[in-house]
Amino acid sequence: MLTVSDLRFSYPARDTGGDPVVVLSGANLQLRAGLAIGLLGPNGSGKSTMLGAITNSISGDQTGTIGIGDEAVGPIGFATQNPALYHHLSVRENLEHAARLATGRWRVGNLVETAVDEYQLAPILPVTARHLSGGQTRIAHLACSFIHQPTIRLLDEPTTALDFETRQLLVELVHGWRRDGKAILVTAHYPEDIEELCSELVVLVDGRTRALGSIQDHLASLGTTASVTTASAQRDLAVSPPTLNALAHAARSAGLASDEPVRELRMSPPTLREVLRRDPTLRSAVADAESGASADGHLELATAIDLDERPDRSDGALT
Amino acid sequence: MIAISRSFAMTEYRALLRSPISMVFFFGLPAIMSAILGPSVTGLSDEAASGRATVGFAVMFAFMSVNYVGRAMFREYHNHTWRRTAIVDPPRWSYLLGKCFAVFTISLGQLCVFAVVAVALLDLRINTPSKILQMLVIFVLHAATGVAVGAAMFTLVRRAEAFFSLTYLVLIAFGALGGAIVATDELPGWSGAMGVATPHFWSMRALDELNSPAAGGSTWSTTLVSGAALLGIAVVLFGFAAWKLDYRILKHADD
Repeated sequence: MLTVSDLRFSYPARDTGGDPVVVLSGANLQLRAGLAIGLLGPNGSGKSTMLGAITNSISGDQTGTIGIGDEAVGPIGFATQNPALYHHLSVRENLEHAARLATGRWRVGNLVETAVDEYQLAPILPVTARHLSGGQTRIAHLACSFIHQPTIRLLDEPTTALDFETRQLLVELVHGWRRDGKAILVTAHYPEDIEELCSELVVLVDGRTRALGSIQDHLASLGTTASVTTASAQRDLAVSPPTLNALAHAARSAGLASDEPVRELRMSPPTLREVLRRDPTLRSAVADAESGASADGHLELATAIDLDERPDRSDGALT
Repeated sequence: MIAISRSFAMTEYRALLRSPISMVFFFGLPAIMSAILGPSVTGLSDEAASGRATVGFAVMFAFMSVNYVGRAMFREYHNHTWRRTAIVDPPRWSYLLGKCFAVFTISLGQLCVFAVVAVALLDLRINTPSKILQMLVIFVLHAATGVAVGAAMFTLVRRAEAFFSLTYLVLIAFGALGGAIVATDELPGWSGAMGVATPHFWSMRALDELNSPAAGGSTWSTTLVSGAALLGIAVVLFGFAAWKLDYRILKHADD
């Protein structure tokens, strides 16, 4: 449905205030119906630029091929990183304007009513955009971006500043779109966001993409981590597949006495973050997220420390 | 494409009407200037000088439309909605028409309000049906040149701060050079010569002719010449704006 081949993009000197800046130097992508691809990369890696280039909505020096299949309906839907709403208009007025712009038609009542149901907007329809909460703003922004029911949907860091409930709604929406055969591309800083929303992963590092394929396959290959504590020892064990037989086998291999009762057993499912950290060429894709530079910085920093110290824990040093 | 123009026009009407205080520049300032300075700045001494001064200030401050067109255009960047427009890539003329239409009508309304006051209270001699019709033609075209100047300027400037600074320069310089404040005959020679390039010169030329005691019931020849000049300026500038506009160029609304 959407094919990107050898996309190269640089911002000219007049836009950077200095030298031209090369952002993409050979990006490729294959987006099909029913697929949600996560595009992961550190700050400044070119994720937003790639979406801008795909939608032809930014100016710069661009080469490469962007192909859109005949089955695609309407202009590409693009939910930008910054919510795009007219502050002085109500949510309904914003929806109507977005629908008219996308379709070129004046009568857009059906599209608006569909969006109201899909995004659960009824309570905030008359509210002026400047008076919405952060989460409400995000959802209204999504509704405006995709009000024309496009088959290709791009979301640039959609989880930014979302509360738990709104995040759940976003997850349900994206999964629903996949079931409906939409083609979805999501950028994110954090692998956890990609893991929750997407089925496949593409990493963008140094202006180049690397397609990693199915997220589920990667997680399955990594196996589950089991933290087993007995009276005399504690071990972190890789268990694959996550079954009792495999756990027993791993415990015997790790030297845990089979006649000792287990005091505590914690099963940790594999994470995309671990998949990326284990590949030296991909670590930089999550390094930025682990530096604690985000709004959730303290949480991410804690996660990074936890992961760094895991080898010691396997030796029982942290028990 | 009419739906898109109409939708942008509706958006801008709502912006103006929901923040009416912002229209003080259109209505409050010319009223204050007329009241304070009156006919003394025109260099004229006949009984219609007060009316002429009021209409002159209206003609000058009608070009606040340049500023308001900028507000309409930079609103897209302040609200981050410009990318959605860039993706759809509507015809540029339809986008510009929609963006400018609300400001155009407010500007036209301002000119009409001050003209009515000047005729009713200040002895402006534009009081026959033919003269009123000619004045309306000039007002429509003057308001059109204002929004066309704003649209053209927007395509050349990337930062809102720079744009709005320039609008005040345009407002004062065009008003002064074009004889909207002091009549062209009273200006230094070089000012009067430069003023020919401003829409205000052509508007005031026609309005002064209509207000002249020597003019008869109809002075269409002057009105048509001035109208043609104003129309030419508006068409050239609007055409330039439509040619130069690029939705994809990032502009900065907040610094």
